Amino acid sequence: MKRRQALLGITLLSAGSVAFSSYKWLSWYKKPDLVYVHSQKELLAALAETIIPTTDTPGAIEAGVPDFILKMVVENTMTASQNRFIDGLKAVDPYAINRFGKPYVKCTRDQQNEVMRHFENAGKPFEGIPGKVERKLIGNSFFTTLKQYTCVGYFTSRLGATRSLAYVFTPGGYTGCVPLITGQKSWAIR
Amino acid sequence: MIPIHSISKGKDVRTFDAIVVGSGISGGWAAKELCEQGLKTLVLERGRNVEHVIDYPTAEKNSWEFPYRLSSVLQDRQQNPVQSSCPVYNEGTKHFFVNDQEHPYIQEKPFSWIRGYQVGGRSLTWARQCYRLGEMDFEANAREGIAVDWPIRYKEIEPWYDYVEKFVGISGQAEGLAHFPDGQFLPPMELNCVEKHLKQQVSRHYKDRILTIGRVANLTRGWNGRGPCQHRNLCNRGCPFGGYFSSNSGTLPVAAATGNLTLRPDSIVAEVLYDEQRNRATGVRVIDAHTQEVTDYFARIIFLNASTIATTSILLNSVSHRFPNGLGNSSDQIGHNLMDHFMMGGAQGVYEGFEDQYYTGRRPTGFYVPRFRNISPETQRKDYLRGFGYQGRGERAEWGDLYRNTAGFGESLKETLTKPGPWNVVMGAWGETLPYDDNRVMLDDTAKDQWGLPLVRINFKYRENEFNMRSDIKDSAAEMLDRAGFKKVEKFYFDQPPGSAIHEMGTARMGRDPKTSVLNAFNQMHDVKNVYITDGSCMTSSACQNPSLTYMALTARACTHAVSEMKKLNL
Ligand SMILES: Cc1cc2nc3c(=O)[nH]c(=O)nc-3n(C[C@H](O)[C@H](O)[C@H](O)COP(=O)(O)OP(=O)(O)OC[C@H]3O[C@@H](n4cnc5c(N)ncnc54)[C@H](O)[C@@H]3O)c2cc1C
Repeated sequence: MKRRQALLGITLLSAGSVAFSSYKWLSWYKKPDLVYVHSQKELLAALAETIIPTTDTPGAIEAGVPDFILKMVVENTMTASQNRFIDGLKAVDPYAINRFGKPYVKCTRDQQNEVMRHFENAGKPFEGIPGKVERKLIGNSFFTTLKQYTCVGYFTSRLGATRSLAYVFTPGGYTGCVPLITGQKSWAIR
Repeated sequence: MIPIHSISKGKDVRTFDAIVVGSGISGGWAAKELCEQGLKTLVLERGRNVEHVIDYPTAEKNSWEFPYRLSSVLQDRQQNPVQSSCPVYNEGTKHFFVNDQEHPYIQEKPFSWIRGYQVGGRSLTWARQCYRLGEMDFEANAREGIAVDWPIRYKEIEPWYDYVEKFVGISGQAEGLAHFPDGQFLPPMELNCVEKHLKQQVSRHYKDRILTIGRVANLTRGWNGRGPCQHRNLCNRGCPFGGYFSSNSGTLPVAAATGNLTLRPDSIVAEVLYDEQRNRATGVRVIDAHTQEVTDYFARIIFLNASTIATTSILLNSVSHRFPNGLGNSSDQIGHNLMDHFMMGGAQGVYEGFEDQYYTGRRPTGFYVPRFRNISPETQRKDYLRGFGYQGRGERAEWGDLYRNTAGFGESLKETLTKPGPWNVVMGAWGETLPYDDNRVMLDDTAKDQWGLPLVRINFKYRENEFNMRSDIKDSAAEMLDRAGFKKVEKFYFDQPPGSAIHEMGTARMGRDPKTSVLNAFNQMHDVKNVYITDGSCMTSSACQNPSLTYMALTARACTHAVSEMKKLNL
C-alpha cells in the first residue's frame, strides 16, 4: 500500500515518467474489450451475488443486478475504469483456478468469498487526496466498480428497494422523530 | 389549459396591452398581476409549453424505471457539462434543463449558467427556499459606500412580501429576528431529532444565532386549490399534487382564468422595439424557435422577465440611434455588477446517539441558520462585509452513503446497508457577494447562436471579501458542530464555478440616480418608462437570502405601479 502510494506520487510529480509502468498506464486507456464483458454474464452474476447474496430477502441475481452492471460498464463508465474492470474480470478465473482448481462459478460460497477478498485487497483505493487523484487518472479498481454497481443496481431495483429497504413512494406526511421499531429497514428514497 | 397563440398576420391581433417576456418565477407573477388587473397580456416564452401535471413525465416513476437508476450519466457529463453540474440534474429532471450544445455561451472565466427554457422556466426545478430580505440588506450599500443605494427600504417591499407569500404558500416558523423578517407562513415542517439537538445547542452556545426549519414554498396544507405536499421530495420532476409553487401550478393558471392571458411558447425575444420620436418601447421582435420566422408584437407596456442574464442580453441586443449600447443604457450599467451567491463551503459531522430514533416521510427542505455576522456592533468582522446563512440537513446515513465506506461484501455488508446508519449533519453557506463593476455580462462581437443572436460572454470572479468570508464559513460551521457534540467534524469546500448557486442577479440594477442605475424604485427603466424589469437583474445588492421571493414581491409591486401609471395616462 505504502509503496503503491509512493509510486503514484512519483508519477504525479513527473508526469509520463517511466517510474510507473508505462505499459500498464497505456493499458488503462486502450479501447476496452466490451465484447468480452458481454460474454461473461454468468461470471458477473456470480460475482454480484457474492457482493449481495440472497438471505431472507432477494439477492443480486434475482434483483436483476447483473444486467445493470453490464449496462453501466458498457455505457456509463470512463475508459480507464472500464479497462480496469475488464482486466479484473479476466483475472478472476485464473486466480480461482490457481487457488481452488476450478472457475469462479463452480467454487463453493466460501471459496468465492476468498477470491473476492483477494480482489478487494488488491483494489483498495487510496485515501484522501491520492485517492481522488487516482480516480481521476486511472479510474476505479475492479472491486470498487463491481461493488458500486452491485449496490446501486440492487438498492434501486424493485426487489432490492421494496424487500430489503422500506419503500414508500408517496409518504403523505413527515414526522421528524419516531422511535425505531425492531427490524426497521432504512428508507429506500431520500 | 392555457390558450396558446398562433402566429397571426394583422398588426391589430399582434397588439396587446402588455407583453411579458419569460414565464418563469418572475414572468409568471407579472402575467398573473397584469391579467388580474384587466390587461390583455401576451406572455412570450422561448421554450416549449409545459402543462401542469400533464407534462411531468417522470413524476410517478420509481428508481428502477430509469435506465441508469438516477446515477450520474457519463454522456450527460460530457455533452452537457454545465447543466449536469447542477445537483438536481438527473434522469428524472433533465428535460427541464437546457442542452449546453444548443445554447452555447462564452465563459471568459468559469461561470455556470444553469437554465430551464420552457413554460415555467426554473420555477419547476427550484429548491423553493424563500427568505425575505431585511432592512439591513436594503441599507447596506448606502451605509458602507458600496455600489449604489437601493431606492427602496424594507417598509416599501414588506406589504408585497405579505401579498405574494399569501398566494404562494410558504411553510416556516416565525422567529422574531429584526434582521431576518418573518412572513405569512403555513405550518412549519418538523425538525428531526438530531436537528432539534443542534438547534438547542446553537441557542445555548451562541447569543447571536438560531436554527430554524427551512422556509419553503411547499404546502403543508391545501392552499389556493393546490397541494398539500405529499412529502415525496421529488419536487423538481414537477409535482402531480401541486404540492409546491411553480408558475405552471400557481400563477399561470390564475392568469389564464381571467381570460386576459395569451401564451406563446417557442418564441425567442430577440430585442425590444423602440420608437425614438415618442421615446417609448413599442413592442418586441420574436424569432420562432422552430421555424425561425420573425414576427413583431406590440404593447403599451413591456415586462422583461427572461431571467438576469437573458434579459441583459435582450437589452444589449436592442440598439438604436438613441441607445447604441443597448436599450435604456445611458448609465452604461447594463451587464455590470453581476452577482451570484457564493456557496459550497461548510462543514459536516456525525452524531453518536439517537440510535433508537428515525423519521418518516421525506421532507423537501432542510434547516436554516440565518445570518449572524455583521448584524450588530458585537458581530462586526474586520476581514469582510456582509454575511451568510447556512442551509443544512440532519439525517441518518443510508445505503447510498454507506457502501463506499463499509469494507467487505456479502451478508454483513447487505445487513449494514439495509439498516439506518449513524446520524449526520451537513451544513453549507449561501454567502453574500458584493456587486463589482467588472463582473460582467456582454455580447460577443461575432459569435452567434443558431437563431443568429449574439452569444453571451460572462466574465466573473470572486474577490477578497468573498474569500475571507469563505474561511469564516468553514470555521464557524465546524465550530458549531463541534460545540454541539458532533464527532468527525470536517470542513469542506467544493470548488464549483460561480453561477452554481443559480442566483445570478444585478445586471440592470435599481437605483435613485439615472446616471448610475438602470431602474427606478418601481423597476421601471429610468430611460424608457414603459419597460419594467423585475427578474434578478434588478437587484442592487445580493443579500445572502435565496432571492426568488424578492423577485416575486418586486414584480407584483411593479405591476400595480404600471397599471396605475397607465390609468393616469403616464404610460
Ligand atoms: C436547482 C435550482 C434550485 C434553486 N433553488 C432556489 C431556491 O431554493 N430559492 C430561490 O429563491 N431560488 C432558487 N433557484 C433560483 C430560481 O430558480 C431563480 O431565481 C428564478 O427561477 C428566477 O426567476 P426568473 O423569472 O428570473 O427566471 P426563470 O425562472 O429562469 O425564467 C426565465 C424564463 O424566461 C425564458 N426566456 C429566456 N430568454 C428568453 C427570450 N429571449 N425570449 C423569451 N423567453 C425567454 C426562459 O425560457 C424561462 O422560462 C434555484 C434554481 C435552480 C435551477
